[in-house]
Amino acid sequence: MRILLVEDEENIRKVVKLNLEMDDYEVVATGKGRDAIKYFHEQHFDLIILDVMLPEISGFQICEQIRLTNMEVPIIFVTAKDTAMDKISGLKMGADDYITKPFNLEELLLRVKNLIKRTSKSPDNLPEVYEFGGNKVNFRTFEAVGKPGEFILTK
Amino acid sequence: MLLAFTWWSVLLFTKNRDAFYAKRDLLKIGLIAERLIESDHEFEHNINYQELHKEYKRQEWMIFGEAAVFVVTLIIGIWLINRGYNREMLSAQQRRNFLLSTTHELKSPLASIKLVLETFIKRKLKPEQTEKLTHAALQETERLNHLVNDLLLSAKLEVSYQPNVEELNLAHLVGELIERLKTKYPVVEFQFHQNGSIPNIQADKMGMTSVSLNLLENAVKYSSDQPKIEVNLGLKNNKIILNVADNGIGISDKEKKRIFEKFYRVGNEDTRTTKGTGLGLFIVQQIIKAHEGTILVEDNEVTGTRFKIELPIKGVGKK
Repeated sequence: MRILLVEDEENIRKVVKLNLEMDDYEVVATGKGRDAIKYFHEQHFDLIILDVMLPEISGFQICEQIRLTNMEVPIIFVTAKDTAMDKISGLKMGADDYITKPFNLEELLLRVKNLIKRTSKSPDNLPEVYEFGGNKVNFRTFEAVGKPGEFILTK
Repeated sequence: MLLAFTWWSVLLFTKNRDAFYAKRDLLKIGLIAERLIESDHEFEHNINYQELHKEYKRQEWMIFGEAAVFVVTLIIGIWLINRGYNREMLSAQQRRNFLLSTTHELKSPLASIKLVLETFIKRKLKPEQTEKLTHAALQETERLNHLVNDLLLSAKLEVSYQPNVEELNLAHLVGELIERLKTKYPVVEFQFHQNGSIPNIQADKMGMTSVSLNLLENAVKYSSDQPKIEVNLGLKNNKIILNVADNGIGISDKEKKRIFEKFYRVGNEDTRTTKGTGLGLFIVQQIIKAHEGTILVEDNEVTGTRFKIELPIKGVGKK
């Protein structure tokens, strides 16, 4: 499972990344909002952990941009902004969870695990290749083959 | 309200005019009845009419004057209220920014330290990983310590700061701080020029350390991708001159007037590119003031900012 971690505090980013990797997640970490948007559009992620106060572009703005094209990927805000209004703003932007700093490591890891479990498709129900009427859809490579030819599907 | 005043003035003008017409007609009828006048021309030259007309004009000017005073007072009042409101809004924004930046600056190191300790409890780490995390946690405690010191010092500066004056070699102090920062920021190019022999000054060592460190750290924070910081120390007119210049983005003229205000930070805290609380330059200015010195901010040549400090050699209260 792949996680995008967006946190401008270097030490927090390093420790959270280390812990997620120790739980067998593949983590792409960045401290810059613009890089986060770029990575999101280039790669597939199963979950995004977002800080709010970031250089140049805020976490709220990143969340808003992601939700314009993707309503599925779970987003967790991890931030020092802890007022009720901040939490409401974050959840209104389309985040699935909101954790305030300083947070409990175990709590973050469990929330990540539960959100990924709930939102990812079960491999038993989702075959790698689905065939119908001479058409083939490969869910791993996001390719479809039909009578008109081959297509690359959007993620 | 302005409209009400204007309407009131117009009404007063009209009533005054109507009253004048009524009095004029009454006077005219009286004079005609007494056969004192025979034509309009004679009436206009009648002394009673001229008195009446003079009184009417006087009242008209009085009303105009009163209306003008009311309107001007009102406009000044509105302007003052508006200015006060804008100042209050600005100060509320500054307080909000301070609260946000302090929250961020306090909670982030706390979160880091907590995460490191929880990782130690939860995981079995390799020795090099343990060392790295310990180093990170120590770095964060230093950051917290620095922030708490800044908060305490800024509070003290406003009420009871008295420089603890001692003989101080400023060149030695600045040189030492630069060496320390060279290790901390290996990519930054520091240049320290000492123009001639610099005499010792009477100053507070802790205060001067805080001043120099704040200016140097600021220069690093706001420098370009290839940071170059130039520090010049010299003597002019019996005053020590300390210049700290960076090659960063610079400060706009509008911001230059405000950067020494307590809690002032440029821009929005949510998308802040640099960390801080808006206390640094306030502390610097207050300490320099307490040493009877001055601080100026100027544009650096080509690009960036230059802070220029002038300090009396003889120190506080010993001119």
